[in-house]
Amino acid sequence: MNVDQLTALYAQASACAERLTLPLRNQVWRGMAGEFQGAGTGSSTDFQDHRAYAPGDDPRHINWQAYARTGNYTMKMYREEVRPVIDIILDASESMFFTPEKAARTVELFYFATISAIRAGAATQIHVLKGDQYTPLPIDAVTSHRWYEQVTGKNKAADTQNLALDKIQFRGNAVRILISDLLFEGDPTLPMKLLTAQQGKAILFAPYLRAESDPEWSGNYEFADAEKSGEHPHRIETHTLNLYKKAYSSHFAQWHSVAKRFSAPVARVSADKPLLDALNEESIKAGALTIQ
Amino acid sequence: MEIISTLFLLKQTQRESSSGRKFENLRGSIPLWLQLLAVILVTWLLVQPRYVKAKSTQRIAIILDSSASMSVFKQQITTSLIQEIPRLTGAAANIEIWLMESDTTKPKIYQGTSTREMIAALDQWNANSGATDPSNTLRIARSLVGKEGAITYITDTPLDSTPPYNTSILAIGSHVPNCGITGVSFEQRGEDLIWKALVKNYSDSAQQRTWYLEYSQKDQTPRTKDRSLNLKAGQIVTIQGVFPNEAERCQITLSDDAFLLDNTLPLVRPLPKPLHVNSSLPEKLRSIGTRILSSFPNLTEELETNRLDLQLTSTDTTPINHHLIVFPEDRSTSRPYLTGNIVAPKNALTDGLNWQTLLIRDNISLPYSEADTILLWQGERPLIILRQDPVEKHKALIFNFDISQSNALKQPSTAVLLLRFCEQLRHDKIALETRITETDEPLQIAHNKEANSPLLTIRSHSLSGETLDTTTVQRYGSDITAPSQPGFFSITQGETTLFTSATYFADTREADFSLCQSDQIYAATAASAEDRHTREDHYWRIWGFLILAILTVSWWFTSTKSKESRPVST
Repeated sequence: MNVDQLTALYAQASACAERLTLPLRNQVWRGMAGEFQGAGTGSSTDFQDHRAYAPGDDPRHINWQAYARTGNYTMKMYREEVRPVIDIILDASESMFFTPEKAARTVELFYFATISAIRAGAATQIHVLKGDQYTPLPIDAVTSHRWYEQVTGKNKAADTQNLALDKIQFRGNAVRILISDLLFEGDPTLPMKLLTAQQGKAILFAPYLRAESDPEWSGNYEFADAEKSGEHPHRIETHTLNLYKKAYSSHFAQWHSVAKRFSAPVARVSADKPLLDALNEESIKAGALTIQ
Repeated sequence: MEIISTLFLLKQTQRESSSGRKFENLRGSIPLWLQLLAVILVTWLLVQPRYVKAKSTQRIAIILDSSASMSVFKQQITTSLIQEIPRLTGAAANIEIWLMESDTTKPKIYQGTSTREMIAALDQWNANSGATDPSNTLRIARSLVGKEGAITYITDTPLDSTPPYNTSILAIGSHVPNCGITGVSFEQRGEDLIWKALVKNYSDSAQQRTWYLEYSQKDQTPRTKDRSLNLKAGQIVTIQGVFPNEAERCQITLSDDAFLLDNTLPLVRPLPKPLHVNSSLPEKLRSIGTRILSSFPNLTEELETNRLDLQLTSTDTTPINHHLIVFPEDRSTSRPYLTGNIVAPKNALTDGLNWQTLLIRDNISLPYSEADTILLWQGERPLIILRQDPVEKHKALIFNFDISQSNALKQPSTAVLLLRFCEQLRHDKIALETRITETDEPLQIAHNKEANSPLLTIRSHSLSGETLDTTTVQRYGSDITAPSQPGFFSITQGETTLFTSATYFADTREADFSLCQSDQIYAATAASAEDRHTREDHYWRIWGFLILAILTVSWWFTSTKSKESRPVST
């Protein structure tokens, strides 16, 4: 994928970011000053609590109605306005880029998350995982599109299936946006625990192809895994295909179930549709995005 | 090859199956099962199955070697027959069997359709002939079973050449160590008759045997002690003894081995038929008579006319009362020698004799008639005439020249002719003869052949003289032979005993098992026989059409599926 293509995808993602945004207002934040309601008291206009007057307090915040009633000076407390913390984790395994459509959708989602985080004024960190290889990315590498060569030019990861989320030092109380097709074996509980550790909130965007969810296989095939070497002959008949589709559904049903336990929305984003349509299909309903 | 990202999900669909993955994959494939069915049908067509006709009959002829050595392998014969019958039967539903032996003089052993009855008949059969050529029997067998029938010849010695008439050969022999009696002779020493027997070890290893002599004495059969014999490989040993003076019969017996026929030597005192001869030759020719009497065996001088068999004379030429040998005397001298070709017409008395050096003077010539048989001519003159009396059947051998005025007495042919004539007369004489014979030896017994004369009777005897078996010989066309088993026998006509004998097995070729071995040579089977007993599958057209239909349906299945679901290329 060249720079022009990346630029075009960036533009599309940016356009979607103007219509849809990450659900950051529902979260109670702590940290640096920003536009979002913090957990502590601050100088926003949102009333939070009362306290007794102490010499030196700003008299503009004295609750005169309470004084009229009680004769005591009471101070109004307002919520602090802080900046959200967002960690974007990109699963850069081969399966995310093994078709042009899926590669484009992965890039779009990555750009969308990054643009949404930047526009929200969030303290954003970008992490790239490729099997057990972990690479932190500066934001300018993303916006300058230099990240693509760095990420996709790496060698195939070692024969590990699960994302090495334990290699990332997540910040506490952060939104952790995972962009991954979730096509790896194993119990989803462990990655969800890692994503939601330290009061984190996880949002999962899973790009997928119709060829993965509803293939039209029939006959003898020599399959090769996108992330591993070796050929695997299979004979696909109707019964086998039905079993595969059932396994596919069960796999994502399990992810949905586990994510629900961790209050993490999971949005599957089709790579066969325009980005906005694909995001509207499931992301809003799942709570992974909100309308601007 | 297709690259996919969900291979792990595909692997989850592979269930464990006790029959293995491939079987599970095949189960639901209609085209595959259709193609397998087509393969089975094609295989069926290529095999070209044939069905046995229910009424097809295979004719089988089995010829057994009649030679006595086969008696050692009788058990193997039965086993081999049981194994051979199915092979010979081939594809036929029924069989018809002829079981014969190679000796054409013996009757067939069995004819029928039952293997079980054939085996039962075989149990009653014994091989006791000498070596026989099976060619005639094989030719008869081939004519019985036809060109599509099967013939097997069972013997104990593999044949050197290809058997005739498309015959299978089954050799069932093996090397069997055998010792046996090969021959016997007698010698008179004073009043004792000495018998001498030869015992041979036919095997290639040293053998040890014992022997004893037993003889008949009144109601008993005493025997001598066993005497041991140690024979090296191939050695021949002579054993001898005195014929018991008080016995008419005795028997030498060797200890048993596998081949029993040559272990027994029955003996009788030889007593040849005598020919009673009288000479009335003149002085000049008297020496001829003396020489004949002293040189020829079994001739005795007889002076009594009523017991005379042969008269040597110079005057009588008509054999009315007895046989004659006529030597005419001519007193004339200085006659020239006869000239002309000397020719001997074909006759048993002169067969093989050379007369070309005979010199005869042209002297006395006796008249002869057309009924006479001329044995020797010189030119137009008969030199030797054979005359037979039409009524009495007596013969006269007439030398139609003065033999003393010729060199005939120096000719070996003359002596042979005279000997033959005397032997012929002795053979034709109806009188008692006692001698040793060999088993199955053809016998010429002189007997009364008049229409109302009694038939010949053959009786077999034990050592003590007890009659064991009696057989009456039919008058016409019967060949008399010695018994096929060693023992004693006599031949009588009415009350007159004509012949007594002890017969023993003397065919050394059958006693030698060194060439016996096992072998099999199968004859080529006739394809036409296969066609005759079976019929082809008449439904082959239906199978062919079915194959085409199956392949068409299978192609339709696979082409339909390939159109509907093209594999996704990622």
